[in-house]
Amino acid sequence: MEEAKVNGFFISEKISRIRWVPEELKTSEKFITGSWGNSTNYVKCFKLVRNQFSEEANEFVPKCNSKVPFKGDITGLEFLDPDKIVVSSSDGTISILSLTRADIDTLSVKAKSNILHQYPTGVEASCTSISIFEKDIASVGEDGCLHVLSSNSLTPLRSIENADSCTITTCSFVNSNEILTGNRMGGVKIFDIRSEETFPQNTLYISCEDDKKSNYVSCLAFHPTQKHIIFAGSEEGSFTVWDLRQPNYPASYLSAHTSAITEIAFHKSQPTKLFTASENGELWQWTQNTLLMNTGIESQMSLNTDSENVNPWLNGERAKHKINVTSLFSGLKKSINTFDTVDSKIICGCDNESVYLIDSIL
Amino acid sequence: MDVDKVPELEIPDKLSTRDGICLAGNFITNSKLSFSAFRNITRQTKDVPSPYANKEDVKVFHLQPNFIFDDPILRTLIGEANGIFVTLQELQKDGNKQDYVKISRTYRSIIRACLEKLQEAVDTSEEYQNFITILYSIECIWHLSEILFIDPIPSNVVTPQLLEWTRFHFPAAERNATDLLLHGRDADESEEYWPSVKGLILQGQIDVARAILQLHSMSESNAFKMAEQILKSMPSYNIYGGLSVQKFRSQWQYWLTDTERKLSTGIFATEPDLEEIIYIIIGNTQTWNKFIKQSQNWYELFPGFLFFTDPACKSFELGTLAQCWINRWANIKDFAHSNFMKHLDKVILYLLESDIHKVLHSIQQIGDNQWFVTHLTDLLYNCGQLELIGENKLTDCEDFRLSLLFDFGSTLMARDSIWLLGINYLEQCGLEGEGAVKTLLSRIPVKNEKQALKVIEIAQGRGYIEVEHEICKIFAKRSMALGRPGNALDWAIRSKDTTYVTSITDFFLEHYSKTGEMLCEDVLSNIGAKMFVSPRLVFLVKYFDFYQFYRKKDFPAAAELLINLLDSKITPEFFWPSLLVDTIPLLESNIPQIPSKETAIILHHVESDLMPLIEKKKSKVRDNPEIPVEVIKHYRIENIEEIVKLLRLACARNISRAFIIENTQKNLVAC
Repeated sequence: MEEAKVNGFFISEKISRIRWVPEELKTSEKFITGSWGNSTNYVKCFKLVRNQFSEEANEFVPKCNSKVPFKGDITGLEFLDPDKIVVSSSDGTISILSLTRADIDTLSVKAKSNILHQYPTGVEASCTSISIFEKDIASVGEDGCLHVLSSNSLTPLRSIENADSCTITTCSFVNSNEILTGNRMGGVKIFDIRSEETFPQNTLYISCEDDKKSNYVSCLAFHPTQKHIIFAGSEEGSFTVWDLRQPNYPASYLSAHTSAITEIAFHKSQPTKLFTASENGELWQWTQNTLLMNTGIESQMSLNTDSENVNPWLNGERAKHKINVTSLFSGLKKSINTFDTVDSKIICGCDNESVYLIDSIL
Repeated sequence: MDVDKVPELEIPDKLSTRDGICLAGNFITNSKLSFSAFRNITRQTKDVPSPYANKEDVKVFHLQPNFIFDDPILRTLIGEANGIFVTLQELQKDGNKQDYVKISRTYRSIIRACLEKLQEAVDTSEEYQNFITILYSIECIWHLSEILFIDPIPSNVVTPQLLEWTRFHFPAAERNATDLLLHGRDADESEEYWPSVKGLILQGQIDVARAILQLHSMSESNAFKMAEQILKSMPSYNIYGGLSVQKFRSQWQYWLTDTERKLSTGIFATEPDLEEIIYIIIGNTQTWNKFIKQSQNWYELFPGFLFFTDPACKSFELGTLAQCWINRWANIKDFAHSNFMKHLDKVILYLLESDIHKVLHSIQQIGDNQWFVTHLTDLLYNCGQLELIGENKLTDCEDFRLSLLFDFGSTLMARDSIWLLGINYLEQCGLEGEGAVKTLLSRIPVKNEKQALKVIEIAQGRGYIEVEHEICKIFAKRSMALGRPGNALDWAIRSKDTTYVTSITDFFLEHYSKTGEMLCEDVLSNIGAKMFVSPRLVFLVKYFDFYQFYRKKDFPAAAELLINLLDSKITPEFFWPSLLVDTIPLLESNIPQIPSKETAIILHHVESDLMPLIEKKKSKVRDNPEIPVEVIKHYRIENIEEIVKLLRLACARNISRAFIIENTQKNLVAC
């Protein structure tokens, strides 16, 4: 593997969400960021332009082309389609921005929802996370509500008012009907939005080293090819893996970072690679060990597992032997809040008001 | 010259202009002042209301310096510098010179980058011009400090570095030279030709000047050839050249005499500009005086003058040399009064005098919220220069650095969006800094839970458990007020504050005993081992378990749990009626659930806990008959007698039934 190259750029904002702009035929050179913690936060569109001054240090520098102001923190930012971005904000609303592509791209607000999340007293509550499935948007908030909205009208198609008595920290569509929500007490609930029931179909609890400690679910993800395998990152820095076909016991529990995992995601085009970022400034790559398969007894074993078609992530303690962990980036000491992958590049947004571009990760 | 100009500010307060009243001020924080009208009261003052009382408004004014780093361009300065600062601290004063020079250059490069961005945007805001001036002087001072203190040349010969410094800060000549070189032959047609060549010479850039002279259309003439030869043969002092200073001086003297002789032959008579150049390099007083008259700043020509007159001078001689030069410069420029020196001029003089004390004192006055002085002092301290310079005591230097870091850190932490960066500075300030971080962290205006969790994460990482608990308490209270008791309970459990947990648990229990509805079941079922933070919470969780068993019709388990609860001694007083009423269906069930001994326990609690409570409530009703008192759901105090009766009856019935069964079973076993 080539040594990963890390380039940092200061952009004067703490970044809460970052996403590459999807491109059809080429590697993306543009990305969208959302900030948090300012009196006015922005969703900005950046383009990597070739640095005309420097020889080698920073080959590319990001240039901000367009920005849209928001009152609250940006809590979620996802692409609905290549030209539309769904943004959730801590003021309890969801907006759709459209990206007009040109030499200088422009962002503009296409639609904005009413306040979706509010406390029983009427005070607006933060919308903490969004997830997208085709044309549907799921949103969860500190008020414990789960809404599924249509992207056309931004009005709720289905609302579960009291999905959780605790703050819901994150959510993720599994398929068109099922949504996972993670709460601040370490519970992952599975809701079926077709049913009239407001109770979850099932509740899973993430594992924790010390069960007297609080441990919130910080992020959710699922395996790109085997969608019944789900991953939940936690405050203590570990993540728990379940097979939804046998949901009663976690399939694996892997302790990773020493502080909260901020985002967990598979590489967009390579399902053997998983990435985790943490609150103390680490970015790790987890690669399924393919080399072992060709050597001695190991190959026998892996052949067996292959024939059983068991995903290495479901192997419990043994998972560690089948997965290689490499640290792509560390020593930042400040949180890496978010990252996104495209081809051989990762871009991450951090609390030290900068974004880092990591190249040649593959 | 030492008395600095004191800035004046006008505070528009009418009242303070009245007779006998003045303005009085006080420091609130290091960078915040408060002013209000004040009348001095002494022994002699008559005790009567002030004539202005109730007639004029009393105003309180708060003054603080502008915080310049809210501007997005300047903000990079804070963010990037913070990263470098942290790297610097990690060296723990143990790095080598190269590390510190690198750090110093990185600091300078961010200033430079920021300046460039400001220059691009200068048209958009008037303030930017101001910022450019500030950053420019910072850059200039930092560069000179780097040359003199952070990257000192062995044997203290500084002229080449000083020349480089002037080149960097007066780049006009060099820029023109590039144009001329690009222009190629016949460059002398340009009007800028001679000024550029002279500018280069004045900055000691002999080689570039020679190259440009070659481009002159007359470069083949004798005068040009002669000039070329003089310039070429000029000895240059180089510590690595192996020449001793004495040897170099004699060489220089020889070359000087030779050049003067050549001049006297009048070979340059046809080329007055060329002649002037030769006069510059031999340090001719009149020629230099002429250029002094054209110069803007005193330090513009100083390094060049040193280069041609005293190239081997040592850094410790710079102070005296600079002072002489300033006197000469001021005389020629006709500055009669002494305050012709601007702020930057003075700081540069102090630097050349190696008076770090005065330097640091002066740069504190730059309007950059102490960004510069803090970072420079810290760097000098880390590379071991702060204690060497000046006659200050070692501890004074350390204290000075710490107080700067403390102030700067506190300033950052007081700002909404950059508090995160302030921590790094305060962390360097020992116990005091740690205390400040703890105090300030729990006061950060947190707007939502995500932000709260972030602060908690930071507190946890540093082991500030109190801070974590404090924030959790705030959020428990907030959630309660916002009508989210389940959320509040979890925050309270996190805060580990027993009183808080107990009071929120009571809310749950009271709500249940009033309405019969259990709140937030999903939260209660997931508390697990965390319940031990408060006995009341243990009770609630166990009661909830009972409630679940009962609902699932697992009566034996429910009964056992209920008896345990009754006997647990953690039942809150107000919950007795509810708990005892719950026993009735179990006592009265068709299949006996509660054995005799346990029934006796129930009866015991009815008499010793429920009855006194009823008595207490009754006396309350007697005292305030108009206030309705509810004992348990739907049962007002008036019909509680009925319930007690029912309870006693149920107990009696069950105990008799239980006796029969238990004894029969025993007999059966005996048979």
